[in-house]
Amino acid sequence: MLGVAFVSATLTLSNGLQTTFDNIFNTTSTGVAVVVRGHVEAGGANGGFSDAHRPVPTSLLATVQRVSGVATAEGIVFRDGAALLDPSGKPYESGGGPPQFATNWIVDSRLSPYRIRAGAPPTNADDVVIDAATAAAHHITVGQQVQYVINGGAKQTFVVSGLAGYGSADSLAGATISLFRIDVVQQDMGLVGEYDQIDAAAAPGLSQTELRDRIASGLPGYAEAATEATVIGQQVSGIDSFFSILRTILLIFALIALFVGSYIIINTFSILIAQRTRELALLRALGASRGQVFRMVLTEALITGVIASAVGVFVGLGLAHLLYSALSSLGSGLPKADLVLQGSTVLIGIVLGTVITVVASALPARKASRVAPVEAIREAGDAAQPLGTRRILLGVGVTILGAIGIALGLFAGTSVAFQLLGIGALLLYLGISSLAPLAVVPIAGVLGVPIEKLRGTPGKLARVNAMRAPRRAASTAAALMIGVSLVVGIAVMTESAKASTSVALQQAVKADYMVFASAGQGTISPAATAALAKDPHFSNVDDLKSGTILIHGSSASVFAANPADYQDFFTLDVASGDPNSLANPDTIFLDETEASNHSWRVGDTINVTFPQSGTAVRERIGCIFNPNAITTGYMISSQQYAKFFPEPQTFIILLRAVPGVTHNAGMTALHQDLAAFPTLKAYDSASFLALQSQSLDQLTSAVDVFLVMAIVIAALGIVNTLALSIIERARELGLLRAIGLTRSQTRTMVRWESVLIAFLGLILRVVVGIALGIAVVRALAFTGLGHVSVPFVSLLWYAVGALIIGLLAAILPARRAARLNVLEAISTE
Amino acid sequence: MSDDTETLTPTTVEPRASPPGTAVDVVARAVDAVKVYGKGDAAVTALDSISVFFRRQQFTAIMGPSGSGKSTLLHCLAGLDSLTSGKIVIGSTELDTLSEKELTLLRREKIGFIFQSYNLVPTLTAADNIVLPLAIAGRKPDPAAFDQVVTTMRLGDRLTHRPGELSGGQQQRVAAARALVSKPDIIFADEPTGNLDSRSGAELLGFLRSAVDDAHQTIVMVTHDPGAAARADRVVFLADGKVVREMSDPTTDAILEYMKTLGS
Ligand SMILES: Nc1ncnc2c1ncn2[C@@H]1O[C@H](COP(=O)(O)OP(=O)(O)O)[C@@H](O)[C@H]1O
Ligand SMILES: [Mg+2]
Repeated sequence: MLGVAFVSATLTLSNGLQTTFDNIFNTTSTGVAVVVRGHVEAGGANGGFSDAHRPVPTSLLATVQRVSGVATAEGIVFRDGAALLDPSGKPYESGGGPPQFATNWIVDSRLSPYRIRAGAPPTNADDVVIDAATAAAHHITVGQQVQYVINGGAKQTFVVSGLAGYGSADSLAGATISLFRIDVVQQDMGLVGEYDQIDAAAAPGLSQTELRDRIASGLPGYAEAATEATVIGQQVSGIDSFFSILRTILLIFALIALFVGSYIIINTFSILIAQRTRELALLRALGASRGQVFRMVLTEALITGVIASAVGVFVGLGLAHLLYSALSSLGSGLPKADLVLQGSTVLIGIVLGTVITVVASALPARKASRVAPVEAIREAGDAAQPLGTRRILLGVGVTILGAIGIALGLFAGTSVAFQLLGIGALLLYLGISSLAPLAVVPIAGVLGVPIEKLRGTPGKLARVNAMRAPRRAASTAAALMIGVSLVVGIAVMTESAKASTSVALQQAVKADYMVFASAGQGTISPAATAALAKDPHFSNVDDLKSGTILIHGSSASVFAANPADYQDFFTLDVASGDPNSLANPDTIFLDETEASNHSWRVGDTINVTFPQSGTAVRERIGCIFNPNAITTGYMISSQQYAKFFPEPQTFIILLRAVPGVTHNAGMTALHQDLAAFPTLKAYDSASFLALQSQSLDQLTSAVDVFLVMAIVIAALGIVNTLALSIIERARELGLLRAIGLTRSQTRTMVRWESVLIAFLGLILRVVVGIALGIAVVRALAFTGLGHVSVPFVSLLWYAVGALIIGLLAAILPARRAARLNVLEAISTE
Repeated sequence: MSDDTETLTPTTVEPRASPPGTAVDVVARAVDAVKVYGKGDAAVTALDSISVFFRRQQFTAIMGPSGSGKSTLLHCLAGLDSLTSGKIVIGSTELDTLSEKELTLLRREKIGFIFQSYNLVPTLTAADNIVLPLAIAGRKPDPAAFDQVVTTMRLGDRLTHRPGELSGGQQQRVAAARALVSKPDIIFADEPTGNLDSRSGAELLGFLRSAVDDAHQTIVMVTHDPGAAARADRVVFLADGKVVREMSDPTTDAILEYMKTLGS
């Protein structure tokens, strides 16, 4: 049921959000009929949601306006990178948040999605209109002065001339939109004489396609015309793919929940059947065939499955609301979503839930059908079933298959790698959980000893109880496995990545300081490099620029460094070739990953296309290096970059201090120089390293959320198993109570059994998780992740966690066991 | 046959092998015990104002038709169930004054149990099962007492076995050993031979008999089997929740005869 709830929550949420976004685009895109723009620039930095297109010259606007059937047309500039500053001069968004678009106010309301809510459109060069959501968030009012850093340049002051909505919404999906006069935004974005696109409205009675054809016929070769419908389609599909990623992640988790859930179902039915062994045996004695018993149990499962799934679907709707509010409280300013249960979601949820229930109960049902008629007469024995050799062999086989799958997934480097990885992991888990019962007795035996010491007889009973049905204990523990081992695996990976990053960077970086812009806050203005170069504290100041190139038609990232001085700032971790050859004409460097993907070697000549200038060049490979956080992908000289990239983008400034300038003095000077560039941040090597691991820490905390959810499910599994086995052991408990076990001793007993199971799960999984993590890290060694590091402190916390889970999970079952009516338990019926 | 005529006047009972009747000799006693199950029309009076007592070192059998209230009486005497009215006194303790926890402790310290079946914890060995009540109480078994009980019950070679590996008779002997080893004031047994073949049953009865004679235990046993009841010092007959007759030094024939008159 929980699993189904997750699945339907996921589907509902992503459907809801998606419809909402679709609606925004469909309702707000006004009377624009045709969009004229440049051709796609692969991986270009331009724009919003859609593919990046090359800008078009302003002269094209007149051409478009002259086409008969064009009612009105305007040029548009729309780009990310307008950082709004708070009154103290710091950006509101510290980076990594929603985009901050700068665009022009569209004069003709037929073309404009923006609607003035208060004040007036921008008329002066220092006017700005801000979207109503952002204004409300920062208490900005009309007439107020605000500061911006646009595209990494210097601070500028604007006056808020008005507030606008995006159609009827306050903003566009949480983004900040700042609307300037067209010439202002062109200037600030380095697009003087250019538009990102031209929007045109059709004269009455003219269809979009007709107008597009008319405009297209008169366009020069560098531009294209598309109908509004096409553009929206592209935008929506961009959003769809964003949501399909979100959906995939959530679905993966939901599937894990279902997978875990099926363990719980298997357990539940096994116990129910164990309890009803006599009843089933009686049926068999009375002449019911094996098939009949099997079908009876399955039918029961079917009914349970349908009901539980139906409940799950509705719980899922509630969960979707929760998730939604969690997401929007993260500050992404999501639009109001219509969270509707779609027919398909209900169907998928119920069918999936039912099928899984039925499949999961097939095993217990088979066991039920094997019940021999004589068991009706016999006192129900409690012999622990030993693992058959067949099962052991099967378990080993599946485990090995899983390991092979994972290995293939890691090393094959093909497009199915992830699927292989997933299937491999699944098989590995199945295999190991089928082998887990073997480990139950020794582990519980050992772990139980201190508990017995501590807790006396109830502790001893807890230990023997945990060991009495190894399969059940193992599959209960397996519920813990999946979550915990994933988390541990990822923890090992991230910890190792941190260690590897810092080792690599410490070796590579020679610069004393580094400056770069936070994510989502544009690039670095050349003025910043120039300003820093003048500071006498620094002997050496230079920057690295980045861009996109096409290799065999697919885009790749390139960075440019000055051959004269780059080795003062960082060392290339050279795999082969000569790092001093960067200044040679038509020479390119590339990282080991790229080289091995294409089987290139130093001295080979490759075809490189520079899309910004449209040039194709044959470049010679001068050096192959191992990648790290700064140096990845392709590398060219700054001279080549200047030639091929008319819109340069600086991503980092590197500085070395004059000998004798202390670290603190240098940092202070740097901060002073950067006061004029508030989107830029200064780092020394220590803070740079910290920044590198910060993103990994974020990953870890995201994983922790999953951990919590996984643990909730696991805890429910333990509760479930314990509760059922208490019912099953009612007589035994009654006996114990009759001969003098007090209620609190009963609770102690159940509690420690639970803790034992939790620990059992933990141990198995931590071992699997660490092994997995190490395997992955080893496998990824060539990307620079080489240092295995096990997060022992976290592991300690996991152990404490297991203890707490065990104790919490036991609360209800223990209560129940203690409340048990002694007489009912021992009465002979 | 003067004993046969003794009925509802317990003070006139003169059990053999025990000193003259004094209050000190009474280990357990029910006074005007009434137990009603259910309410209104569905109410069943399982015990209908029963007064009965049990002396130290006496082996008492309780007999009666099915549904006559034997198990109910035993459960109430053992503090497993509570009376609707009347009182139960174990030693000098009145049970309805005790809390749940005190009751549990009383059962642990003063009372032994042998049920018809499912007497043992399946995950523990025979030895562990025998010492279980002591272990629960955190006490160490007296090795001499343990050895003696094990020897008497002839369980020496079965101590490391789990219940699943023992025969029904052996299981009941383990249960009896468990009841005996802590030397409780009184042992209650509800049809302990009910699931056993006659040889194992007779064997178990022999052990119970010698526990009373040699180890000075007090036993109250519910049984359907006149042969088993005849091994007791005294038989209390129940019918419809009332004590209808008591019989000292019973014989199988006398019991059978009386049972006929009860029509069961
Ligand atoms: N838990 C109960 N609820 C209702 N009635 C009960 C319950 N236990 C016993 N009885 C009734 O009380 C009467 C005495 O039962 P019991 O003491 O078990 O008889 P015996 O052991 O002599 O066969 C019977 O009529 C039985 O149906
Ligand atoms: Mg009975």
